Amino acid sequence: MIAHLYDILALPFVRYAIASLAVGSVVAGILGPFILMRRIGFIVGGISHALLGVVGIGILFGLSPFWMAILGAVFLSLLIAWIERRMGRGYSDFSIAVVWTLGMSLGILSLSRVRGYAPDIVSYLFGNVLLLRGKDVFFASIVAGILILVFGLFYRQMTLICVDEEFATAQGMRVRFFYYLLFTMIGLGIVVLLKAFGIILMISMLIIPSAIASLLVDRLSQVWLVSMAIALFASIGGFFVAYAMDFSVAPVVAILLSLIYLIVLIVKR
Amino acid sequence: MRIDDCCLYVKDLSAGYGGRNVIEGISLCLKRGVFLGLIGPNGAGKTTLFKAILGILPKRTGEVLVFGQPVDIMRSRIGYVPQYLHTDMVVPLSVEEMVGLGLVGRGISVENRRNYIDDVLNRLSLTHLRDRRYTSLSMGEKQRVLIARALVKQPVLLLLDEPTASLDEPSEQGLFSLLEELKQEGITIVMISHDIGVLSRVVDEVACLNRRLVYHGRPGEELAAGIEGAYKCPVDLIAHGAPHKILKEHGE
Repeated sequence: MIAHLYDILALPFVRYAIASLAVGSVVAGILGPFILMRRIGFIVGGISHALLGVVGIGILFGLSPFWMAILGAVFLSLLIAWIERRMGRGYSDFSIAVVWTLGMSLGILSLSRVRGYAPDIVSYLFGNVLLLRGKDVFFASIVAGILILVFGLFYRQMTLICVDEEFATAQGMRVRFFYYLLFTMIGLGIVVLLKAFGIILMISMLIIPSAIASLLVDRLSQVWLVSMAIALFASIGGFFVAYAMDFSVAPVVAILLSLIYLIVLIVKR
Repeated sequence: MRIDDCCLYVKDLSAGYGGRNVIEGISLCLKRGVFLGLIGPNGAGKTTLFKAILGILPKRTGEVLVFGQPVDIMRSRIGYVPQYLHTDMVVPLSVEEMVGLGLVGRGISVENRRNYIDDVLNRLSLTHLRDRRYTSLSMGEKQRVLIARALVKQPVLLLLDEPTASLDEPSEQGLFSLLEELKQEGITIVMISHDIGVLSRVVDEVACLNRRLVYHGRPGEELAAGIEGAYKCPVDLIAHGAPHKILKEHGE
């Protein structure tokens, strides 16, 4: 059994997959509670689908899909944030829906002008954890490092604008700056997880672990740690289950996370 | 009176939403350690006045000074307790963390931060609730936590927007005892309330707002006379929240 495990871990693609799942768990653990508190879970699906437009335009004009995806995710996050600020809090669903449909429509139009098949867009929107390379893990680690640094410095400010923006203004905080910084970080997190995991697993990882953690503990400081632990447990555990049963990793992890959530919900509520 | 003598100095303040001024030409001076009750009918601009003082709502005219300094400089010493804070049950924030948000941006060390929070939790008898989720508390407990969040920054000026609205009588008495202590310590307090009967027992001054400041003076007989003079309606009606129609009819 142990020897078999060593054999599995000796495979480079397995090591890259596990490393990226671990890094992804950290990213999900950091961002998830903010997405939960701000009630913008819909943003994860919105940006990932709207990226079709940005990456599609990039492919049409021969630009790097990698950089287009990064810049696009940040731009789309900021656009959603800007629309929400103009509309007023509570209208995030509307701002996300606008960006979602705009992005996908632009993507369909631009790709219709691309001659032949556009394989790059498939890899950016439906990434596969088993196809990752060392540089993908490195890039994900860089983004995770940026997130740790930014949230380590400003997590109290970010928390306050999620909980009580009016009080934050009264405190003299630069609310707009932190608001856009939060959305920029969410955009970065989404693009790195999207490339590594694909849409299904990315949405699961960013939403469900923090939702489970918020049912289990009453302190935000604990929610971050518990979210990371749940994401790590479900993703690594799901990876080996999928490997053993010859299933695709993303749906197995997503199902595992969903089941944990439902069980905790039944037990705790 | 010199501006420097005023803890809160407001001159010709106007603010509003869209094309409409909700408050206009507000001027007042509150000395250190004064407890002011702010009354007026719904829509009179009481909360708007707070928001304009705090800079949450941009002022259209006028100036606001705290001990002679612009609010931007003194902001860290102004405590604000909103009427109500809507938070979803899923928000995983403990009482201690909620109170700690009052110190955001103050540049306080972790150890001092802990001491500040301990002190204010102890003072408001909230220590036993420190690890409880904020959203799981009763309305009265939540109100006390929001007051603690305002007090943790050790303000010189405290603005409370209808803090007694969701409190039972013992809690209300507890709050007024606390405010009396704070006043004795030199903190200037402005509290919005609809209950003139209660206010007149605890405040030093009363201001009556109906877009403009229509009365600012001492409570009791003078208050009754002042409000009757300003609104031409009986004070007991104001105290029970019924006179809004009359106020509109007789207001300026």
